[in-house]
Amino acid sequence: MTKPKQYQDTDFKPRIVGFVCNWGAYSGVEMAGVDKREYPASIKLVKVMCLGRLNLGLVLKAFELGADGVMLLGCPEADCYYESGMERAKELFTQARKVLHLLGIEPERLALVEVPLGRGDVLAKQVSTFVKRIAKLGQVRRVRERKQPAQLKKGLIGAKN
Amino acid sequence: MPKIDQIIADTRAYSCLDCGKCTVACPISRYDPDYSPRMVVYNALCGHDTELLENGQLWSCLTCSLCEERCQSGVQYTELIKLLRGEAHAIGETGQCTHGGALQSLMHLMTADHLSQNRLGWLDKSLKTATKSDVLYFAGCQPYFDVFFSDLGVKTLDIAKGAVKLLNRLGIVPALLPNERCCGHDLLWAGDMEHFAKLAEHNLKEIRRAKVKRVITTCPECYQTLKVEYPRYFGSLDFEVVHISQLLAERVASGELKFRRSVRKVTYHDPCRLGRFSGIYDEPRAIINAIPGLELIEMSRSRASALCCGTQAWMNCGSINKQIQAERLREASSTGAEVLLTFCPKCQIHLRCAMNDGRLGEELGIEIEDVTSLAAKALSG
Repeated sequence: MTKPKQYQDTDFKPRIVGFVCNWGAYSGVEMAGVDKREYPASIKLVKVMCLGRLNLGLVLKAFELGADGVMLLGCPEADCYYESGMERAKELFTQARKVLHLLGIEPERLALVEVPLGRGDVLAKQVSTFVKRIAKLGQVRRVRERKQPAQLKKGLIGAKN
Repeated sequence: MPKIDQIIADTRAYSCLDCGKCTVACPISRYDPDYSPRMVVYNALCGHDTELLENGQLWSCLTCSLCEERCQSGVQYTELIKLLRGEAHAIGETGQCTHGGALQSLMHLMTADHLSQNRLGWLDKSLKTATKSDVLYFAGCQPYFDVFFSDLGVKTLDIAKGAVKLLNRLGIVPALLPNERCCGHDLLWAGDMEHFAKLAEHNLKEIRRAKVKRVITTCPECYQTLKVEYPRYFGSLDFEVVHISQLLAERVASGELKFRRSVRKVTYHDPCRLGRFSGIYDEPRAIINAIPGLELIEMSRSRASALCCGTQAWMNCGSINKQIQAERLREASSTGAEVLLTFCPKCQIHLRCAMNDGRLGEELGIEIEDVTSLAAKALSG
């Protein structure tokens, strides 16, 4: 079987998690499908109601479980369905990048992108650019088992109160 | 012998007289009638393993050791909790991770074999460090705390900077590990032995490679973990572990360390890993008393009776923990002190978090400072 075009030169397949806002960016995802726009399949999308719902724990968890890059796909700040969601996402983005830098993981592996309502072209382009960037950076430099930690057996971890 | 029976034997839980002093002393039981140290021991002794490991109570314990302090039968309750959590973790149980599990992920990420951290960015020109030295300063997770808790105004790196400044003043130029990992304290106390072991092995390898004779810590959790837990699991250490309070108190006594005058009323909160776990009560007080003008007023519960800062291992933090923190902060304010001193970056984070409250903020507010950074600021000349 021949490899998909974008991986022909290398065996490295980036593993990318994309957190997608239900409103702006996800409508972009749907529109990209309707318009049959191509973008790399390396990105696994996780839909959230708003990027303001994310926290540092979720971003770091993605890296812990072996992601080579994480994309936060939201709306233009002024269009946020919940008004302040993108503001919070920007704070999280700055904070998470600082933590990644401390850990010696290139901060560029985390991206925050604004996708206006229904813009499949913007989404496809941004994802393609990001996947290329990660492919260039390569795998996060660490050797570890990708075994799921035992604590996840019981389901999602998160604050109770 | 089945594992839990072995744990009961190792921690002397069989000596329990069912007197209930532990539950009376327990800060959690005061607010949560469902939690009882006595019942944990009872369930362990009666073989109620499912109840013991799966009902979630196991993760509420603050491991503050106040019950152990009160126990007349010598039941090692915190050790019992630690070992039981190990068993519970092995069957897929876990506590509720606070902060969305961010700190747990951070610790897991640090178990990687290849890591090139940028954790020493806080060092500036005024601080002298060496690549080779007999003394190592183990800074702990402070560079990360300042990013994680920037919204609380936490500046734990002041502790690290203060520590190096104080060491320099004593003529010590410490080495620092550029790839030091988390000491693993919180994973150990969450029963995650696998990841704890990885962190510990990495740290031991790095410390041995640095060929140091002495490791100095400012975090009581790092101190207790390196000094007591590492040898327990990995054999005796070929270096000495010292908490900075021990070193400073020694040098204050010998007159090598002198401080500027600073007129203030202060009170001191004993961190559990430094106090009840390590018996270091006098050293912090000796340092505080060596600063002229500082008046130390003790809280009604201090030294071995000190109340915990309310949270442990970044787990199960909620309204009950908040009440404990509020209780401690009110106790500190009621002494009339202007500043609440502590010796643990995490006590500071937890207490600051409790102060960050829309309704109770003003009532609970008190200036809070670490003894290390206070001493560094008060250095004469």
